Amino acid sequence: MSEALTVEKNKVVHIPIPSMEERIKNLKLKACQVRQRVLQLIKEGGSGHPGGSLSAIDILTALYFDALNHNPEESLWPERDRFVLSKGHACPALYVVLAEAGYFPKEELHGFRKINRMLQGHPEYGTPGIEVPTGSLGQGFSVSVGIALGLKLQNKSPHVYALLGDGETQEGQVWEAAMAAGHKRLDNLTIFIDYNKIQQDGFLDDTMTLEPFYDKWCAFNWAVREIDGHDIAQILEGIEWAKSIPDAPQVLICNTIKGQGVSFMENEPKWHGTQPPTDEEMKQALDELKKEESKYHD
Amino acid sequence: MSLRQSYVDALNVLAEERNDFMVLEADATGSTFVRQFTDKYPSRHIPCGVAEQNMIGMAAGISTTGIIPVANTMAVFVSLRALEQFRTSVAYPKFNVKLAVSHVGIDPGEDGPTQAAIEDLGALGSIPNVLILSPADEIEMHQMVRFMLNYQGPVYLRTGRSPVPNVLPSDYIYKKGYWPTVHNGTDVTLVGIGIMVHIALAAREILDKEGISAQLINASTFKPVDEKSFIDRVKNTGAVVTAEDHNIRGGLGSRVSEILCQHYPLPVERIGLNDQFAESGNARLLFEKYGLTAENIAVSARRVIERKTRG
Repeated sequence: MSEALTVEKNKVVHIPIPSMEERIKNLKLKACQVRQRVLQLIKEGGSGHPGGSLSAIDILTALYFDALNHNPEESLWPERDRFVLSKGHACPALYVVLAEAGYFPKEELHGFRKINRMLQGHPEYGTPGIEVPTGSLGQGFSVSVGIALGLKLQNKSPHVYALLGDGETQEGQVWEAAMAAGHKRLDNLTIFIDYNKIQQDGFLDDTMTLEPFYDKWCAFNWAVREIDGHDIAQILEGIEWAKSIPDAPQVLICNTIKGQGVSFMENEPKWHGTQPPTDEEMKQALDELKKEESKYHD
Repeated sequence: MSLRQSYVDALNVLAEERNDFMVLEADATGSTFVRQFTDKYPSRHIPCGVAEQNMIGMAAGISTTGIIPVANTMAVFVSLRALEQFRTSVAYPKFNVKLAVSHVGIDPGEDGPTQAAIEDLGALGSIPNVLILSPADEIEMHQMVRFMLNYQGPVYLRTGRSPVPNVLPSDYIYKKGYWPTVHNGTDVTLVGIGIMVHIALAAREILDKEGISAQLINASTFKPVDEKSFIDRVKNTGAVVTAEDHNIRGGLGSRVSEILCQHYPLPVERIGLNDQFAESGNARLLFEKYGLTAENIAVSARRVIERKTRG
């Protein structure tokens, strides 16, 4: 571990800078813990979308615990990078990450989907850390294009990130937004696509294929990179790559596994949502995730 | 002067006073007359192409960065096509987005039913958090555009295609939700919206010659409505005729009936499109064919007065 010198309250202090290996290990540990908490949240809430939450967790973890310039204590800090969860049904993952990051008390996680409580079934504007209401697919992406454009018009520096589902890109509005962002050369906009190949009704390729997906984005004037959406190092590298691209918005097509981390949920369309796991299934899932977690403890 | 002309005039006046708003357009600057703004202030223009759903979403996003987005196009393409975007991305979070639309009702005339929004009030009116403005003349348009930019929250503003005369006094001040009285009267109340206000004023003159005293109220804020002040002025006349260039289902006729049924039941007659699509044609001739005329309003007024006296 190396160190950096910084001045804090007129005193020189030594801040340890974790190595890349340490960063990745810490994020993998965090993602494992978030996965467990997400399943508990859905179980307690009585419904939710486990499959697409689990596939998105590594991306969200890399953003919120490493890449984003943000301030959980001041959720509307003007200089913050913006993040929009356009696939709003994956909010169990976002809620856990936001609570872990300190946007709101972890106690709120017990109120997911419950009357008179803060955490709605899909993200609501006003919840600390939620920039935009999402859940109606395609809309969050357009709004993030608008945020990026508004910031750019005012020469403001924050970067805008959005996470889209793969099934979501079947919406026409997505391609209206993609065309607009490409045309306006919004290089302050980076999107992740959680390409887990499964949508609500079944496998994507049986329903409405997206292929050739990479070429579609190129054709809309985006910079495109395909990565493994569960490989933290590739996600971090992908973000660095995206920030280095001038004059074009960037898309990271993240190959993922729906239900990632829980053997019986992986690649199984029925875990899209909204039935919670049974007690036995919960036990098995948590056992598997705890076993995975133990790999990252010193 | 047409309401779309007075709209862009008002926008141009305000552009000289403030630089906090930008204009979005979905490839209809010629139809909405917004070209007279975008030609003058190109740096304040965000062309969105023929993509209304994305225009509304982008407007929502832009509003969160401190710029006031004023999105424009023809009413039917946003009030229906991009309705869900307006509902979820704008109205639900109460974002500071302004939406100004032309081509309301059958007034678009020759363009025909595909371009004529005959149901926008019904669609928008059922969405919470939206301020819906439909001015009657140039004077009210200038007031409303100014109000709209000062107001924090979602606004839907209707303009119009055919010329309308001024019906309000030059010192008129717009008050949110208040339906101004255009003319006093005692026997019946005519309630008009938008282009129908001046047509109802002509109906009032017809009735006046027959010795019938009609009050005329301008329902220029479709939502929210100061219901109490409306009922206070209507109840003494004992009968109401509504007039709108819109489907009478879900529009002004429905709204007035709803207010009166709940608080002060009175006989109501409704002038407007009777749950039907119209057709292409000269707007004046269409108004005649579909009964949106002063004569027809007068007929309804006589009928509703008779219903009142029958008890």
